[in-house]
Amino acid sequence: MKLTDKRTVEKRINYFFSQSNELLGDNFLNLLDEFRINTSIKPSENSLTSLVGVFNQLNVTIDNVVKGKVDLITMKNQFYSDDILPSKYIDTLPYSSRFTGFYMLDYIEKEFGQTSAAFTRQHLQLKSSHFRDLSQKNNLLLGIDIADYVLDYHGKRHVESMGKNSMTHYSRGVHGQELAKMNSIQNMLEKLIIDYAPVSIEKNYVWKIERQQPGTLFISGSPKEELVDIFGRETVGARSLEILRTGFISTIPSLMSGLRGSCTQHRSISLGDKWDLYELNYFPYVNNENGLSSLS
Amino acid sequence: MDDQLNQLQKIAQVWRAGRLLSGKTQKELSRILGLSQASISKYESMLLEPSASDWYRFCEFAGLDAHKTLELGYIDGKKKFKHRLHSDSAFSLPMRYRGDFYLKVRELIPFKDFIIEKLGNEYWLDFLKNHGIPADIFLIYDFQISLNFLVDLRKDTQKHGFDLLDGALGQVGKDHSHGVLQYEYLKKKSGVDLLKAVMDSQAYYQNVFEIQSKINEKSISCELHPSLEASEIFKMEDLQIYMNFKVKSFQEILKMRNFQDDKFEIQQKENTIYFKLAS
Repeated sequence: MKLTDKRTVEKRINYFFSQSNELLGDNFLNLLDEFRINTSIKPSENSLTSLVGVFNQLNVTIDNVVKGKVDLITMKNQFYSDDILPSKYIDTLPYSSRFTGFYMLDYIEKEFGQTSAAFTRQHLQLKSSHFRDLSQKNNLLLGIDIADYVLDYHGKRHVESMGKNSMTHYSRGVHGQELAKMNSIQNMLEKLIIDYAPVSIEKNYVWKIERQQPGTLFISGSPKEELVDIFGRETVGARSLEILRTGFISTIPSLMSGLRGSCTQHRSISLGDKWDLYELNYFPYVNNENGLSSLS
Repeated sequence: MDDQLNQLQKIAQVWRAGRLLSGKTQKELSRILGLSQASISKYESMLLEPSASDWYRFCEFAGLDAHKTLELGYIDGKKKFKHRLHSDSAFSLPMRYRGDFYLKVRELIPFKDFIIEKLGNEYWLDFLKNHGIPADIFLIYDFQISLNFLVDLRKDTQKHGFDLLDGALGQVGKDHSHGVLQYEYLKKKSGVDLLKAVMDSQAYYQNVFEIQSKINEKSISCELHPSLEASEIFKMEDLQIYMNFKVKSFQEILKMRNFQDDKFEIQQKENTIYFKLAS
């Protein structure tokens, strides 16, 4: 793995400081003073702890400063108001429910704690206040960024589990409750994939049942073409989203009492295929003789 | 000044633990990062704070979130070197402390805290040194170490006239002992929900015993027994002592959130512990 060049790291930190200075003026100078940043030397030559203190105040992280991923206008606006969501999440096609991001962050909080969830938000220039009103919309980039972050720092297993966690939340909603009451697993899966998935699970994705046989369902899908045109195939076909979907799909059978599932991905847009293909296997969940369900 | 020293110590410890987890010597790492070995040595000895670029590049190499790791002071992101969390090459644990059945560092934090409070940091470090265990692993929350560690630590502290497990119970109830999991526990609004969350999280503490649970809205019934494989490796007496500690620790966690009035019943039959909580 090639590491970022030392000079590039320094250049990006210095650039961030000069831009912040321009955008925030005296407020920024006060901040530098508060964190004892020596302005007679380059910002990057200052103490690491002081630099991170400044980054925290501006709701950015050293990682996204160095990667050049800070939305400077959002940073400036957030300095004066908590409610500003990064523009990249709302400027284009805000079709997605805020619930999706909320559930993903909920998983991070449950799995790695509140502090970790707060760092994830900071990494993406988000604030907890952005998730107070879940009726708000945003675009699919929010979910992709959260999933990418978890994939980068925690690994595939956790992205899958994040998908499972979302299904658990879904099961408590109106659609989840309705599906749980259906008379057969086959009907339930059809209802979910054909009727509900395109409207309440992943509106940006075209879902299709390829074939069904006892205990198995093959589901194909691809992002909507209009999204591919706008965001690019690489973004909307992100590997992290495919893994998230695998976790989500594997948990669908458990909407019905006494069933469990597993999911395998056979085709992947991120790995070069034209569409995704998932195989869902479902089976009865056997309780042991004491009627206890196994947690281990 | 104290804050500065603490910060320097935090960086030094995490740097060293991260380097060892990645399996590199100071010399090897210095080549990778294009630094002198002397600089790395100074970073790890609290003589110098790394520059932002050195810290960032080190974390990039080690697969760590540079910002979060610096703020938390322990290693959480474990993807890149997860295969080394139990490897004998990462920290050269003695054979007695390796194996497929383990406690995670997260589980051992209450014991560490109690020992340091009762006998001092020096005792803790001496114990680790005498048993060939690197202190650095206690900065890596998912690092795995055999149950034998707890058995030996308990035996050693008995010389001082107290039972380690009883003492550690006082730490288990404290929020910080659970690291990042505390926040999930804090959200629970009933004893049953809390105990369910604790049961669900057991894989983040240990894999020595198995739990089976039956849950409904108002009660949770569990049975806890050593896994078959663990029974073949460890003495049943040690497993029993540990499992009893765990069940008491569940009660302590309930007390932490003022759920002590809930009805908690414990029964033991042979090697299995049954417990039930009704709201």
